[in-house]
Amino acid sequence: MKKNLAAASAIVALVLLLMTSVYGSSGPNASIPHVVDRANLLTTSEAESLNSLFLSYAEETQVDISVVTVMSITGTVRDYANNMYDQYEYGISERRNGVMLFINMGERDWYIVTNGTGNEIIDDRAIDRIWNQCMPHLQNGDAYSCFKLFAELCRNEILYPGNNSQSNGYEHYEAPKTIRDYFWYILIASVGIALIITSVMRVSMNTARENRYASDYIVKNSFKVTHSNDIYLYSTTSRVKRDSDDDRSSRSSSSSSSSSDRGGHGGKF
Amino acid sequence: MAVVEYKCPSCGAALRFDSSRQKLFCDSCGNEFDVEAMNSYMEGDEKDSFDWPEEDNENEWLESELEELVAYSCPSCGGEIVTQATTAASSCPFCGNPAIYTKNISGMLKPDCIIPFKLNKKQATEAFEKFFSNKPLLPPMFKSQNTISEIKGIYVPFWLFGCSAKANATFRGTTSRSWSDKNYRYTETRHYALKRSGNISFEDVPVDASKQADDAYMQAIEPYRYVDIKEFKTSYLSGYFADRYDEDVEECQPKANERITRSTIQQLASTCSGYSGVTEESSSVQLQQAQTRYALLPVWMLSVKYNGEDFHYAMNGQTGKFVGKLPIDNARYLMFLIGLSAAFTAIATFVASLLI
Repeated sequence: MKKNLAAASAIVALVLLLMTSVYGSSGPNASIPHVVDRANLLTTSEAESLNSLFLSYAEETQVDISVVTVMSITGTVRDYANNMYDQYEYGISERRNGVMLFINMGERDWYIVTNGTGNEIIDDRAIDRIWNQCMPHLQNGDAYSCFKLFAELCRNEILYPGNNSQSNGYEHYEAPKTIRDYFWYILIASVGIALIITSVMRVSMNTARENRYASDYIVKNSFKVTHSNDIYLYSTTSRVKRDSDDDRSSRSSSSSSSSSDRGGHGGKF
Repeated sequence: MAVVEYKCPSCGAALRFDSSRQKLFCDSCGNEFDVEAMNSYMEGDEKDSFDWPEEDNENEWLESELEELVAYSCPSCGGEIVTQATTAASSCPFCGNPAIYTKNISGMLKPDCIIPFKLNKKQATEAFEKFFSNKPLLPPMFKSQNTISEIKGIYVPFWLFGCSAKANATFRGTTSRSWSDKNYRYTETRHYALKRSGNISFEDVPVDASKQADDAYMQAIEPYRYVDIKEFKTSYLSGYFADRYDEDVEECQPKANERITRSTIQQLASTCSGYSGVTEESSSVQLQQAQTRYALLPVWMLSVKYNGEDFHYAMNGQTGKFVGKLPIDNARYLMFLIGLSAAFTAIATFVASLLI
């Protein structure tokens, strides 16, 4: 019994470990810094505050939000920014959904990198719209406000893309469903199935059942129907409205038609 | 002339004859009914009748037979057993009480027939052990620590009822069809009254005649194969005990009536094919040519003490069918529940992670 209990406990512990890794895997990676300020535009506390904000928005939208600032670069700003995105492994889930603001203070370059659903929702027009609102703060020396607004505008753009006159036609955005959304349903269904199986096992422990019929004692071929009459009485008719087809232009959950998941653009400020 | 009141088969309200429609009409639900159909529907059934013969046991003991037998009575549970004088009874087969005493055998009904034991004590023990296997909720201590009282082979008294039954029944059945247009999906359900009458015969429906023997257990070990039934002889009792009957035939008739009626109606219902939702609305059964006989049927009985509680088991002494109630270890039950839940959650998570 002790051996069985130990084995069962080990199995349950292993299963719990596995589930933690699966259910814990969606969402932003909090161990990666989402504010990398090599240009020293922010104080330590401002950087920490922005980091927390970016993580909470990322959790909400399932799109990673980050900012990287440097003093100088080599090569083009586009390539450098994309490399930063890959180097820090930003992005949520397999498609690495995310949006990153890159600032090169030395040349006054800015670049916004988008990936996955970030790229689908925040197109070039949206990038310009966002940056045009953020840039004045940076030009005034208030990097904190610039980056905070950047994150807020990205969040709003993702959650409510239809609110702008230059909207790209999407309806209200729904964060892609992750496995965590289904956790409670899976758990309840599993417990339900387990309850059914164990109930059947309990019932099989008692085989003494009353027999309320005498079918075993019918004389063979003795049953004869002497009269049979089916009388039609009345009929009832019910009707249910049919669902009309959904012809909204909702965003498909399949991958986008663009050839690549990466997008973005930038300029000078 | 008595006025017949027609009740609506759909809602139960009173119907009136609508001269414009020339049909019976229900103001409450709006349904209309053909007059002839309603007359057929309302044709009454006869009442139930169960004419069992009065107990008339002409089977008398021979003096020599009575001398071969001895009866015992248990002051603890009230059980009474009979056995051959050469078979000593050391304890009550029902409760295990060793302080049983002999009593006068007179007044005991002589059985008409008996099915002798076909399975011996060793086979009964093996069947018991097989019953224990593959029962993961059974406390493991149960198998090792249990106290098995002596396995007892007991002839349990039964009244066997045979008869012809004539029955009438009315059932309700429905058929439905569906269709749809641009805006709606329609379902039409047609309701029918299904009248059936038939004849059927039963033979030797057993009802146990002993208060000691649990009815559920005795029914659960059915059926017996009557091809092995023999005329009663006292020699069949050698090595076994026969339980004395204490429920006479009148007390057992209602149980037989119930089983026969249920099976008869079930047979009539099975002829209502092509309809869904067939339910019984009314029925009547009349039994004729009824006969009864008093029989002894073989049962191996076991009782097991576990944690101060008695657990009883019965095995059909002819076919080997085994029934009983095993105790459940609650700790093992919980362990299984948690383990299975964890396993299914893991499987469902894996499948979901592939799909999402």
